[in-house]
Amino acid sequence: MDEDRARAGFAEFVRAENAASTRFAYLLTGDRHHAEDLVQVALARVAIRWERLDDPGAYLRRVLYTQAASWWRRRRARPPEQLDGFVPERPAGPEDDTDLRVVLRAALARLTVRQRAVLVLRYYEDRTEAETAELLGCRVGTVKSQTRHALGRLRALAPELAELVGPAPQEVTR
Amino acid sequence: MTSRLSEALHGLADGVPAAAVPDELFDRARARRRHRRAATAGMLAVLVLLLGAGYALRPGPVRWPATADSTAPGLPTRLVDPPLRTATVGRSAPGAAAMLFGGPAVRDDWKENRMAVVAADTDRYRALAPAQRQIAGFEALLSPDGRYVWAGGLLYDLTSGRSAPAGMDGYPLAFAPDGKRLAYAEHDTFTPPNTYATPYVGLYDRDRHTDVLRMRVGSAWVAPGQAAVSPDGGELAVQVRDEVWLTRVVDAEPDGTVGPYRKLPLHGGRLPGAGSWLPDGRSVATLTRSTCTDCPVPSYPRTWRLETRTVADGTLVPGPAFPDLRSTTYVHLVGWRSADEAVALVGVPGPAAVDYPETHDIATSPYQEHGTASVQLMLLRRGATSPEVLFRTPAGVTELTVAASLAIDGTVRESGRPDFGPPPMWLVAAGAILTAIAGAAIQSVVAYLRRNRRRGVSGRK
Repeated sequence: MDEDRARAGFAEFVRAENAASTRFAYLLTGDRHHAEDLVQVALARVAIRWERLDDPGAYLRRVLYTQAASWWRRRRARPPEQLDGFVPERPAGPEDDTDLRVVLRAALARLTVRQRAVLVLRYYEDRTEAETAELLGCRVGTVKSQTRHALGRLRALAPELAELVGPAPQEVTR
Repeated sequence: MTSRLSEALHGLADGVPAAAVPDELFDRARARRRHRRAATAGMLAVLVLLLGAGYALRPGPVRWPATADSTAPGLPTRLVDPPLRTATVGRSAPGAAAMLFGGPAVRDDWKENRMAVVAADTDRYRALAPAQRQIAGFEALLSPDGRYVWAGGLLYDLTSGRSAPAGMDGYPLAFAPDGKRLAYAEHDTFTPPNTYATPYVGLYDRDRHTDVLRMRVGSAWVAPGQAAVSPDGGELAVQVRDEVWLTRVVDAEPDGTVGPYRKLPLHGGRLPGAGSWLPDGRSVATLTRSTCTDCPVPSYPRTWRLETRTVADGTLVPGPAFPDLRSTTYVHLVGWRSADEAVALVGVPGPAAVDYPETHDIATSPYQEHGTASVQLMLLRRGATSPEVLFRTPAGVTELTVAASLAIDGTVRESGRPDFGPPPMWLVAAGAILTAIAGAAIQSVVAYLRRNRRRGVSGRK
């Protein structure tokens, strides 16, 4: 009886969260197929602990984030980083939103998983800094610093994203 | 500005379709979890069972009868270096031993405290590795009947493989001839910069589990191996600086404390170890030191001459002289065949030996005798021109002590094929691991060859 109730509750949860969690996973990984695998693994974990979870949605996002981080660590071939300050040559600046999205997607792939997760939770899911910190299991200060670093890195990787992420903060002198 | 970033992120992700989630995901995930738990529990149970069975079936010490019946006990004619795989006394008891020996051939960098024993009845070699380095014959002693090794505060019973605290807190000086009393020195005290002192010397009775005698030696340091218990176990002779102090159990206070009843001057000589008392118990042997001119080892002119003195007044016992022991690092008497025949262990100097003066500094203490290359078992006869060599240790064995009863009786047996006991567990484990690695390597090679053959066949087709 309890098992049937749990199964029904889980099915309801999947219906409600599947699309959002898939998009969250996609923004974390940048790959649809991998996002789908990630969601299935995370949902399986939620299913195992279903009766013990107070907030299954938060747990689902936490698992998605940790699994993405594990995968990112295990990944053998990482995209080569441009450490010399030169940005690889690309076609002329974006002419429309589609080009901008392509550039954004490529730039997101260059961020760390934590930076991506912070950006996605803050700007895609409109979570507060406190909520983001709770979901990722870190301090609010870490969320702030990771956000700043992520935006700065996007600016450095793709200057044409300045209109999305805003200009670099001005240095204050007295 | 960041609202534009939100819009862009939505533009990126909103078109992504929801992941396909199988209907049975809930049941399948839980079932997989249950199976994994059951498998883990099963593996743990098997592991516990294996460990328990291994513990229950562990090889225990092999008991050996105190009186071996394979061959007549005796001193072996040959000594071999015990290899690394030699079983320990604790794992496989050798039975009463004929010899306890050590040296560079027995120790190595891995087991730097290692010593070895060889049984009296056959060539069973077993290893001993006390917690601290002990020198066989000085800090590690073999009981006169060969049953016990006394080292590092422990008595190892070689017939059972068990060890137990010797009962007192000190380092060994000598076994009594019947093995029932142990002469020891309390652990020395150190006063910077370089002064060591022995608080007292004791005589411990193993049957009564108490000291029957305790003698304070002032601020002197008593070197290991420089004491002797009389044949009846009632008197103790100890070298204290340049004197031999004689003391009796019957003179002891109820708490065991006693002072010397006589002090024999040594004039630069020594008390020659546990066999110093003559069989009648009325005389004690001493060594006088001189230098030789036609020495076997010219760079080491130290020469020892054995003398016997009465304990009543310290006068020399008349009789022909014992032969001089030229170029000899130390002399330890094992016992007496008669009043005119002494059996002794004699240190032979190697090229690195330096003939230091008879000082008792800890760095060049007489008992260590750095540079001793081998040890000889000798018979010293009054009136003989030279000693008779009964046994000499092979190269690399620089420390030796023997079961006094066998050496005094002169029972010698022909050495046979050495037995080093069951292989140690680390060797078995290493063999199993190597076999597994070799098996895996062979399997990989076979699989590689098969793959290549298949490719060749399919390529030809």
